[in-house]
Amino acid sequence: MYIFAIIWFLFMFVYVAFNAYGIFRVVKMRIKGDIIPVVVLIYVIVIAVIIVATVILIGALDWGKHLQDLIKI
Amino acid sequence: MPEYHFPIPGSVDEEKIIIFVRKHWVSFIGPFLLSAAMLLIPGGLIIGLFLSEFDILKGFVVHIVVLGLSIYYLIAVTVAFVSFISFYYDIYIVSRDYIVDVVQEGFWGRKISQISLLRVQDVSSNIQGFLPTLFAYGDVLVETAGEQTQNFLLKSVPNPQEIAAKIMQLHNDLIETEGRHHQILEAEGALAPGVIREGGHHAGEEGSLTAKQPTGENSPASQEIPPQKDFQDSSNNSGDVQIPQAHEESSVPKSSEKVQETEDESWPKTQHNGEGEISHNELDKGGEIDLK
Repeated sequence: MYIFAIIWFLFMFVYVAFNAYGIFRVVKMRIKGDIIPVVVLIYVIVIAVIIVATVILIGALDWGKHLQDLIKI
Repeated sequence: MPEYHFPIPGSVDEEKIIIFVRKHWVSFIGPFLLSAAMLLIPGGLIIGLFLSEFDILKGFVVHIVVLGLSIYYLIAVTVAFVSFISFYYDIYIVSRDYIVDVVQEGFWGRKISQISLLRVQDVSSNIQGFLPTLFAYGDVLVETAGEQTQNFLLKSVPNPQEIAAKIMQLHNDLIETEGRHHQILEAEGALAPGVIREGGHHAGEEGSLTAKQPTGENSPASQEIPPQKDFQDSSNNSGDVQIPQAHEESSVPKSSEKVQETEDESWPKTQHNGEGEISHNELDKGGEIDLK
């Protein structure tokens, strides 16, 4: 089950890098006086909330069990 | 005027910018509702399953749902942000010389187009639909001249009629400023080449006259078209272009008619004979024309 968590962390690594450069480009092309800084701040906060909530849930779950033991519906 | 952090081709002077407009916010309603649906519907489904009698959320499913929902929401939020950036950075700039069209395509794509106002041939506005009519926004189509016609379409701009009228006004003002008005009138046949207008300047080509071109400080070759007044009033902070009172264009004076003496002091006065006219016969004789 650790494989799913590892895949998720790899996705997070790529996602953060993608957004970091994207936000850098957006801030670079901003026009003085526009609302982009506020929008970027909201965007970063929302992403942070999602990531933090996911990390908390991942920490609450047991990833040490085998997949066969968990496939019990 | 806002400070620009991104390069604009042709180095548009900020002081010359007359119109700086984005798309109307109502045009973003569609992507906004789509993004809201993408964010709310899955969460609602999960909550509904959790509260329902179906005991699905246990064991292996919980791990997959947590990771899957996290990835889905991160992508959905990014898609919403990118669509907003694409909407917000679609900018249309109209200065006294150019029209600049900036189209943002996501994070990485940007297309900047620019045409000169001199090439503008026709400008039309279009408001179609319930929401555009209610909120007074629509499209402005700018048609240009030349072999490679490049039409500019300003999409979903507020008050498109005013913008279209303003573009035509700026185009006409630029024509006047560039001094091509006489050339256009000659091309259209409204002004005959080589006609000397009393109180005016020589409006024809140099080769159109058979007479020897006079020299001196008042010769037409050395005299430039009097500069127009500054269009922008210093007290007018809105940047609106105020058209100065146009010089009255008289009809094509025939050689037998008296040339009307204009009262406009901006035009240099021409010297004329006692009868007040300069005939083509005098020009054909090759005599010098004293324009003092």
